[in-house]
Formats: sequence, C-alpha cells, structure tokens
Amino acid sequence: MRFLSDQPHPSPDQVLYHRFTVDLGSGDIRAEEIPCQNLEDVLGGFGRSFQILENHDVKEAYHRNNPLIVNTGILTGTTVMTGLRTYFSAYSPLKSSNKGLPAAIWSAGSGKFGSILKWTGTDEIIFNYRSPTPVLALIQENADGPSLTLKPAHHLLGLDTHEKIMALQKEYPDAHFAVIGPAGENYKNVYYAAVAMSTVNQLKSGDDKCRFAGRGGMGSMMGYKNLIALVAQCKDKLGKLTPTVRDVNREIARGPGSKKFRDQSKGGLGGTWSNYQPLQKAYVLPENNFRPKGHDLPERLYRENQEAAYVIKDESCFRCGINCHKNIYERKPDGSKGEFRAKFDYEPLDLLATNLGIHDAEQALRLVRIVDNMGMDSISCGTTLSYVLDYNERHPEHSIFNGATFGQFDAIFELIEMTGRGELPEMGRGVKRLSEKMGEPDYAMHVKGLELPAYLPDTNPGYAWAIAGGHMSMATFLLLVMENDTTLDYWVKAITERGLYQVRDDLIGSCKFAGMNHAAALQAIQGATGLELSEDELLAAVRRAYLRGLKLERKQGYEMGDYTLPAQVFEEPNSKLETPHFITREFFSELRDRVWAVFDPEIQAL
Amino acid sequence: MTVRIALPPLFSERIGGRGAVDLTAPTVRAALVKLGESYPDLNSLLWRSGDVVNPFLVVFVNDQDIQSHDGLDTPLHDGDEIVVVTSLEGG
Repeated sequence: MRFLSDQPHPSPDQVLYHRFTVDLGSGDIRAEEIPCQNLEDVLGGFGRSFQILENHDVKEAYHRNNPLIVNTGILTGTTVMTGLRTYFSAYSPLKSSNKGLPAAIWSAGSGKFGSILKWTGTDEIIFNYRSPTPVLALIQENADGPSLTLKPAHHLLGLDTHEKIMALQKEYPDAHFAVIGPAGENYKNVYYAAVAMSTVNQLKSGDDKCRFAGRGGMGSMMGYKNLIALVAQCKDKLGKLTPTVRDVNREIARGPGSKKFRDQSKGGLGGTWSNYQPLQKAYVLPENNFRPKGHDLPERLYRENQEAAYVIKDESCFRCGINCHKNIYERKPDGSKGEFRAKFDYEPLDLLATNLGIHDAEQALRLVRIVDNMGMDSISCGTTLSYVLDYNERHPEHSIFNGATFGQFDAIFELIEMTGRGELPEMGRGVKRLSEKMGEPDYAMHVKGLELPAYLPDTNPGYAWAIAGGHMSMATFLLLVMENDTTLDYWVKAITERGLYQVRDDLIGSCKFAGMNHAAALQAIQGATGLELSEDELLAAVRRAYLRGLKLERKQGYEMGDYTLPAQVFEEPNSKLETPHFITREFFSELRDRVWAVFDPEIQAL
Repeated sequence: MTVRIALPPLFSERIGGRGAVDLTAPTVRAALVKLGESYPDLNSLLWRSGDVVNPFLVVFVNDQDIQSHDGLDTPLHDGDEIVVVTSLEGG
C-alpha cells in the first residue's frame, strides 16, 4: 500500500493499493495502483473483496464470470504479531441459497505466504476466467515493483498439499506457497477443497505443517481456474519495530486475549484443544453427528490423556508468540520426540474423530492428516461425513456409499480418500446437497449451505447470521454455555451489537487468536502504518462490511427461509445436554423478525 | 489493596472496550464483586446462581491460577494483577 499523504488521517483516496488483474484465459496481466474508495478498501480483506464481488453477476460458481480474489489486510506483513493473514474470496461452489445461487464467501489462513506476497508490493490479485492448462502464479519483487508471471504447473498435478509445497520449495527455495491438493484438482466433485499455505516450520522441518484457508471451497475455485499454486518470492522485509507495536505485541503474547490459546507451560490454557473438557462436562461436545450421548468416551481424547503416548509440541506461525499449533509427534522409547504425526486443533479433532464416533487418538491422527493432505476443509468434510454415518445408522438396509457408520475407522478413512480423489461426488458436494438428495435434511448440520463447525446448533441461534462460517463470522457460538441466557433480548443484542464484530480481523489481516480488543487493534494499525482511526470509524467500517455480506446473500437469492437452523434443533431436543432447550420455532421466528428489524434499514442504506 | 483486573475481549466489548479495570479489594472474590457492581453488564459472565463464579472462567493472580491457592478467597496485595480468562474460545 502507498500513502500519498503523510497526514495521520488521510482520506481513503490518498491510500493506494497494488492490484494485479489476471486474465487466466488469455494470459493478460494488468498491474495498477488503485485509490481506495472507503475505509473498508483501506483495511482490506473481505472488506475490499466483497465490494468487488458485489459488482459481478454470478449464477454458477464454476463460471468464467466468477473471479477469485486473493488479498491481504492492512496488518499483513507488518511487525504486528499475527499479521499474517491471506484472504481468498469468490462466489462459493459450496455455500448456496435455496434457489441454488452461489453465495459470496471469503476464507483466511496464516503461515508466511501472505507476508511474502505483501513484501513483493502486491496487495491484491484478481484471477478472472479460467486457464486452459494447469498453471501457477509466480509473484516476485523486481526493481520497478512487483511482477506476476504464469508458469506451467503440470508437474504438480496429483501431488498432495504437502508434496506440492515441498516440490515447489526445490524450485523456489526462498519463497512461500499457497497450493491445492487432489481435492482442489477434482473440483467438479469436491466443493469444499481448501487452500494450503506453507509455514516456516514446514519448510524447515519437511513436516506437513501447512495452515489452511478452508471454508467455502476456495481450493475448489483454484482448481476450477486451473490455478494449482501461488508462489510468492521476495526477501524478508519486516519493518522496524516501533515502540507502539512492541507494546501491542507484548499484549498479544502475554495478555488475557490470547491466554486461552497459549501453551500451559507459558501460563496459557493450552489452545483450542482444551475446549474438550468444559464442553464435554456440559455434554455439548459434538459427538455422532452433533448428538452428544452423555457418556465419557470423548474424554479419551483429552490432551492430558495423550501426553504419555505422544510428544505434544506447541508451535507457531511466523514470529507468533502464541504458539497455538498443537503438533503431535511419536514418543520414542527414551521419551524424546519422534516422527511428526498431525496437529490436534479443536475443530478437526472433534469433527474428524469424536463427531464420527472415533475415540482413539491413533485413528484420529490418521483422519486429520489424510484430510489435510487431500486439501479439504476439515469442518465441511467432517460434518458431511457425520451425516453419512448417521444416515447409514438410521438405514442399515439402505445404506449409502460403503455403508460406514459411527466408529468404523477403516470405512471412514476410505470415504475420505475416495472423496478427495473425486470419486464420491455426492459426498464431496457437501451436506446440504446430499441430505436433500436423500430426502432427509433435518439432521444435516449446515446453515445456509455451509457445514457447521464443532459447536452445537442447539446452543446457538446466531449461526443463521454468520456470513462466512458459523464460528468465524458471528461470535455467538459459546454464549449459551458461558452465560446461560435464553431471553430474546439477550440474543438480539448478542447478534446485532456484538457478534458481528468478530469479522474485524477478516479485514485487517490479524488472527482472531491474538485476542486484541478494538483499542489494541487501532493501536496496532497506527503503530504499523501511521494511520490514526477512531474506534467509531473502525467499527462502522467493520459493520458496513458485515452488512454487505448479508446484502450479497440477498443478491444471491437468500430469503427468510434460508435463515434457519437444522430442523432437528427445533423438533428433537437432545435431553443429554446440560444446557437448556430454548430454540423453539416460535423463539427463532421472533428472533429472526427482531434481528432483521435492526439490520434491514442498515442494509438498505448501504 | 489496589489491583488491576485484565479482561478478555468477551468482557471488554461490553464495557466500552476497556481492557483492564483498577480497583481496591482484599480478595479475589471481593474484586470480582466490585467489578460486577461497577459494570453490571459483566455479572452474567462472572457469576452463576448467586456467589458461584462462572465455571467456564479461569482466574489468575500474578499468573498463578487461583485454584492452586485459596480460590476466590485468595488474598490480594497492592499491585497484584488479576487476569480473567474464558476457558472456552473457538477457532
């Protein structure tokens, strides 16, 4: 980005960002500096990309008119800790309205790719149309600015995510990468393929420790465009650490906001994996397709119960002091660290183990790893799988696919492999389409066509207003457990006044695990870029960006009936849960009216 | 005893973005009660049924979990820092 003014509060058009527009069909590449039109443009991420998508009429995701936008946030590549995010935005092949139109979505990931991309001088790339042959995009820094070149990528086809990254490292030793796996290559039959991004640890150790932009099928979009990889190559250009940013970083590394995600040996609570205990105690840990049984089997996967069998290391993305990655290694007879096995973050662990009836760590490791290697979103893959297992348990005489039911590891593993290879299109196209085809949508765990993360819909009516993933774009998913409030007033406020600001980090380029409050985020922006904003200005921009997401849903045919929860929540309350059953159809209907009464006038005023 | 209570975003978003609150209290319990009196919007996060602290909170004093001391009755000293953390966060 380039500031034309040295004023601390320039007008948006005094801030320029660098964009490549790539015509993958013809190979034409245009580079330009674009003046920002508003604060959302300045902040970046989906705040900018959704304004671009707003101007595209797209009826099918796999269509030449659907652009894939890769961009960063204002903090990406700065000295602010966790300022590492890369955003992928497009109309999703997965998330769609009941009318069948694709919804706009973004997905974010860390690693070091975003920083390198930013250091080449590139803020955004729009990939239009489709390449006739497999290509990779090489983004480099030259004497006269950034350059982008399309190169053949046939040699990468068939490799898994990690293999692609390691192969590319041999060709471009000082670069970082964003790649798709076999699932992305089989985009026609896999709508939830992810984008894998390289980490410093991965390139150094040779272990498959990618980070993923998983939600909404952005890897499938890369596959559709025949764009197999992005390579960003540039020397490290980390700026000078200012005293302000140093303070912010100290707060991120040691403050209360990230304490949950830090290692226990560093005074933290041990990361998202440690959600297992409190959720299991209240029997709201998703099990067997989001239907907790009220027994203690899930406790086998508590971290404390795996410490003896494995070496568990808390590792990090580039320069991050939080160390949220919980990487599992074999434990050698002498107690030292052996071979890397997989990572155990809460979402993949629950959705690819406990929620599939798997309670064995060794099996869980293999399931988590195969999904990563295939390059699929573990949330969408896991939640679609749990529906299949549930269906088969309900219909032993008319089972689907290989007949797998809960706890059948070998059969589940086979389903994942076949899905990643594109051999099970019904499974690969997500739970909404599959459940509608089977005629049993009531226990399909999705909202608006996107599979639910590992928090029960029975506890969160706010899912209906999440715009890009149930827990990443509406912060209401743990409130019932935390506060136990079931009043309408509470939930209206939670959604319209607080929950939506969860998406702030999806503009500015920082990670939610940094736990920055808004004051700290403003301090980070000022310290890293000199830009001074008020909290009101920041929050107004975030709110506009969020509301634009709802507006885009309407543009794609979303109607009142799309904003709902799986019918099982209303019709079959689970008596095992220790949380109250309060989401009745009447409650939800009234909530919907009151939430829209707040949002509707604001959407119309955009 | 004048102490500082550092709060996670779930709390600070309800009290105008304030990330920390300074107050005077002899014990952790008294400090949390006072916090709730000053900011009633936090009471539903802090307490369950009367004076039982929310089981999904973990409270530290000077980086030590109060459960390894006297729980809510842990005495405070001038300059102590209390950190309130939610044991549930997503991602």
